[in-house]
Amino acid sequence: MPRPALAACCALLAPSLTLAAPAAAATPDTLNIGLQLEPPSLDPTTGPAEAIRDIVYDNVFESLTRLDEHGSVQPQLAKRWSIADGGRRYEFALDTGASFSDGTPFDCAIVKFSLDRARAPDSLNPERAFYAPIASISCPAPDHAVITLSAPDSEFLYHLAWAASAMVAPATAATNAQHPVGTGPYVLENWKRGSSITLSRREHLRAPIPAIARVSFHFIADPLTAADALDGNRLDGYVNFPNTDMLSRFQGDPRFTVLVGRSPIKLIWALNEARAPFNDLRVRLALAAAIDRYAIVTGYANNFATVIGSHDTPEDPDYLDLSAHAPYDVGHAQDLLRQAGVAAGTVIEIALPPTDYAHKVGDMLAAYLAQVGLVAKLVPMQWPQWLGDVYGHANYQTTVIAHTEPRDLDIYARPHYYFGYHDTVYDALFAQYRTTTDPAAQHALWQKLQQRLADTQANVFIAALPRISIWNARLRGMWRDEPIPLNRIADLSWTP
Amino acid sequence: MNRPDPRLLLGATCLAGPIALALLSLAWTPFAVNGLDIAHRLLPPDAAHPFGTDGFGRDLLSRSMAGLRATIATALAATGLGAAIGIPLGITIAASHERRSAPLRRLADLVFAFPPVLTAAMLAALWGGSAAGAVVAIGAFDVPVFARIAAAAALPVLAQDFIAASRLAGRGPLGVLWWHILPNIAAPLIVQASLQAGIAVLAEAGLTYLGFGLPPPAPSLGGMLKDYQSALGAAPWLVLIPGALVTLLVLGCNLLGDGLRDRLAR
Repeated sequence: MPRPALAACCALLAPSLTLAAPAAAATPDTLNIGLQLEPPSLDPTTGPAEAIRDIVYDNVFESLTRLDEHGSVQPQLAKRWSIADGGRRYEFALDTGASFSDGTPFDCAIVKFSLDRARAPDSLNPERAFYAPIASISCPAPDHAVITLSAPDSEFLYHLAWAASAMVAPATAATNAQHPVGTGPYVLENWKRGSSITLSRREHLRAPIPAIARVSFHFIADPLTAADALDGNRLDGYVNFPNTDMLSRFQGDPRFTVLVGRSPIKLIWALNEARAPFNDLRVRLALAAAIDRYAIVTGYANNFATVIGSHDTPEDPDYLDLSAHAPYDVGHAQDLLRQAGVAAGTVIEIALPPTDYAHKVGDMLAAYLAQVGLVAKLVPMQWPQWLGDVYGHANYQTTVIAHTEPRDLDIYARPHYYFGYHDTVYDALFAQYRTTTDPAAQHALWQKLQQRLADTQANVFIAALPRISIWNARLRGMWRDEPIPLNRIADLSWTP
Repeated sequence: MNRPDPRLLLGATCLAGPIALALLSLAWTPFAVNGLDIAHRLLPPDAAHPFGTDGFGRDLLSRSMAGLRATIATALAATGLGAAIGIPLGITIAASHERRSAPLRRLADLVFAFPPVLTAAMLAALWGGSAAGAVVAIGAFDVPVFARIAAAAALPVLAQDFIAASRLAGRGPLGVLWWHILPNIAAPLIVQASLQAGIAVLAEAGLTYLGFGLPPPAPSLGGMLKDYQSALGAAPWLVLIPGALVTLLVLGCNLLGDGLRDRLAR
């Protein structure tokens, strides 16, 4: 066969060949899980990618606190805590029985190192703003940490439960990206680039010992390949399954458990407001009115997603339903564009990361823009390019992206975030929220923040995405909902 | 009386439908190519939508027509590019002293070593996926193919007395090439061009499948295969129809090439 034909045939057959068949779950203590994306590194304290947290958080790395399945803050490396001085002083009793996988003991010095590193001026921590309120960290005893804040922070314990707040040891912090060393029950066994990452259970763990001794995460972006791998028992589960049209294949099959839960994932069409014409509110409102979010939810997510009108999702107890904001109205969108002086035929670039949702939604956005006389230029990107150009340097016009972090309204108050959103009213509201300790006042302020983002159309908010996972029916302990991106392997076990 | 070669007829028949649809799409499609109609998503083929609709309610016939246009245009442009560079190169090699043409031969070998997928990936990394990138990638691969065929066919022609006579009569190298060599080596080149066009169709589909060809939202047959493959179970027509169109084009080109080869050899 001539080489071009052979190459093209290989390309067409690629999806069925990309999965190097992992071993079937023949033994009761191993697990093969499919994920869409391979992480660029394994250090959640320096990398923003969700794929990092999906693998290492709560498995390799742990924080002072953690979130349970319902999103409540629970003790982890901090056994308990007390709050004093009007919310400014936090005292933590530490679990000094914990240790890093290289033998380094966990104590207050680790807490001080980790949080000082996260809040340092040259910190690469993706959530560095979380630690800005910290005024000092002191260690009265190895098992006792005192953190003093410059002002009360209603979200402080919650933010400590994030992967970005993971405890790291001084000797290994610099190499965690490739050789992660944490206090969690699992260690990195191997990383086959482009294929899989395997974690194995640490030796000499304290009870309770996790039932799963070895877990491999396989990176399979193509839904059809993933479905075939599940069907062929080469995967025991797939988290955040990207194609809802294929779910019916598994929902009636007794070999599988399909979990459709709530998640904090917000699908947005992000607009770079540091650039014209997106710095004009009329243009942002026009773009929001130009698209039919209900049609997008049906077309992309088969009605498994929920239309939203601001940067929050219904699983948040403080969620404000703004789905009726900026309804689909082509005529209104055209009027607004005309008022803003945006000429017909103007090209709008849409950067698309390499995900199923981005490409499908990007296709639909292009059709909607054409209806109002604009031309979409879709720019597919690989993750490193997206993280560098869009997220890192804000060198973009618009992008379709799913924000996976829960309760992350703080990103709109960050001065150099990639949205380029600056609103003094919002900033003042957020500062007020952060220092408020009364739950009722917090609730009201959180909803005002959502309303302000909708009123100023900070981005085009499309939908709250569900957490859809498909599991072998013999597995137990999986989370239905996802309050924060993670896959807690220690909770899983096989039924006999 | 010569009876037409059945492969010629069959090849032409295979190509006629897709080419007609592609040409028609320049002026008309039943629905807007990218028009959304969510209420009518994933409809199987019926009278209103003879090829059915996709997950966004887009009419698959309209998208297939536009996709055929893109695929055929890319295949023709790539084959034309390969021929336009490869044929003069091959004749130059044939006309030159073996030692002087050695670098050109090695260059052709080097280009031949790069499959279109690799070339297209490099071009996409530099400038993003585009139809032009696919044309260059496939066309570059075609250059040494045409050069070899042209060189092999031109060598015996160059040894003919009428070539020397033409030179003595004062015709320059380009004149000799155009008036004497090309007409005498046209038959194998035409056959090869039809075969290369089939290969180019398959390569274009592969490149767009991989994201190195025509960027979305413009429809392409390879892009449709990629986008719709996950719906194979629920809506098989979404994959079968673009796949069948690619098959028809490739089969048509190959049959046409085989038929032409026999016909022109008589």
